[in-house]
Amino acid sequence: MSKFTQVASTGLTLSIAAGEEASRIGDGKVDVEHVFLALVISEGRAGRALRDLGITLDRARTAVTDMHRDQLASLGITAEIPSEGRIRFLEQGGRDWNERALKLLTEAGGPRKAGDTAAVLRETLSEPSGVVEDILARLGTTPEKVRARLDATTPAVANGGAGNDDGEPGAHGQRKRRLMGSHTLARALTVFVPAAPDDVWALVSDAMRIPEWDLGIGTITRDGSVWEGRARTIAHDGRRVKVKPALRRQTIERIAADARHHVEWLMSYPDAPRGNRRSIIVDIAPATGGSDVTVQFAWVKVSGPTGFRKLVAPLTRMLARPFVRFVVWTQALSLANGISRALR
Amino acid sequence: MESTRVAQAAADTTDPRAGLRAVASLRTLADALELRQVEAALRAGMSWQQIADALGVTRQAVHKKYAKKIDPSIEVPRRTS
Repeated sequence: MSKFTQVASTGLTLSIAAGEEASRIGDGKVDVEHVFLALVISEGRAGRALRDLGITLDRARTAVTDMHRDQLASLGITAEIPSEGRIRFLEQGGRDWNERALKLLTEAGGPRKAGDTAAVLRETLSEPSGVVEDILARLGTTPEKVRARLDATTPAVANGGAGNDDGEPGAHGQRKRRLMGSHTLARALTVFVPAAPDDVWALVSDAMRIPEWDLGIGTITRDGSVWEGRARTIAHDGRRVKVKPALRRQTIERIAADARHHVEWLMSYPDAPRGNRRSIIVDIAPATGGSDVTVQFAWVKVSGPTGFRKLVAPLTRMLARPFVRFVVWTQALSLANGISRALR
Repeated sequence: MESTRVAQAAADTTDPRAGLRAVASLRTLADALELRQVEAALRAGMSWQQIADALGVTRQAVHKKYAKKIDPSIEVPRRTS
């Protein structure tokens, strides 16, 4: 993975998670503590180092709440920062960033720095406000200990796509190539989900719960052995979403569901028989403090272009490849984030 | 909390770094409370202008800050004047 894509994917994944954590407490801007919480649940070296030290999302959230409560108490105020305890990120759209929080991400991508989650964690540990030091003390550790653990943590083992440190393809990468070989556009990526494998399984293997993690599907009804999904036409933030009439209805089939760790969904559009079908494969593996969830997302071609478009297809395909790869990656990321968000 | 105790604690300047961070927490608290109160006001049928008057800012300022942040299920009042 190039430095640019590393910085971009780290920035995107961390900023979504940090924004989600900030959205749990009202209006606050994304601040240093939210970047820290995002790191706790991040895939890659930073997250693994923190979780190996016994830092779970729940413990870290409690430490942040306690810190604010104690600081307010030092001013003679007995109050808790009000929190609804649920992520309102989708309803509220983008969030404002505090300058010092934004600096953590930009500095991590600077010269001679890797731009991965480990680099962001290093920036966070030496952040001058003392916020992270305070949080770590409440979690029974210090910046030095975290730094030492980070140095001892090896790069990721199996990563199939952008969004992770050191993008060496592992088992997932091989499966991706198999999918690509059958004329599909596919990306796979692994995210850490702070929930037990059984909880992840209960979410991703149940068709009726797909709308909880697939933003494009609003409602599901059972139709014999398959399910029928209806596209979401009103986004979470209340905006109307334009969906082509032919793509509003989808047939959802569960192709495979193995031993509580592997499920394959295939979504086709009955009103657009020539349209590509969507394949979503989710693999769940236990990890320290939660689960590693690998999402493979693919557009499965039903029929190729015809006529003149068939002649120019190879050229347009070549020109569009980087863009299409990025779009498919963001679609896979959206699904993976959806699974993580639904369980936080 | 009685104002005298707040004043005493806030006036404690022996550890300015801790004091400043505490003030940052206070700002976070104020922001979080403000959003909750704005949402409650809109749910109670108050207009953006009434909310702005109570907060001591302009209607444009409060609308710009909160229009996209409030719970989308809240029926937002249209300007009548």
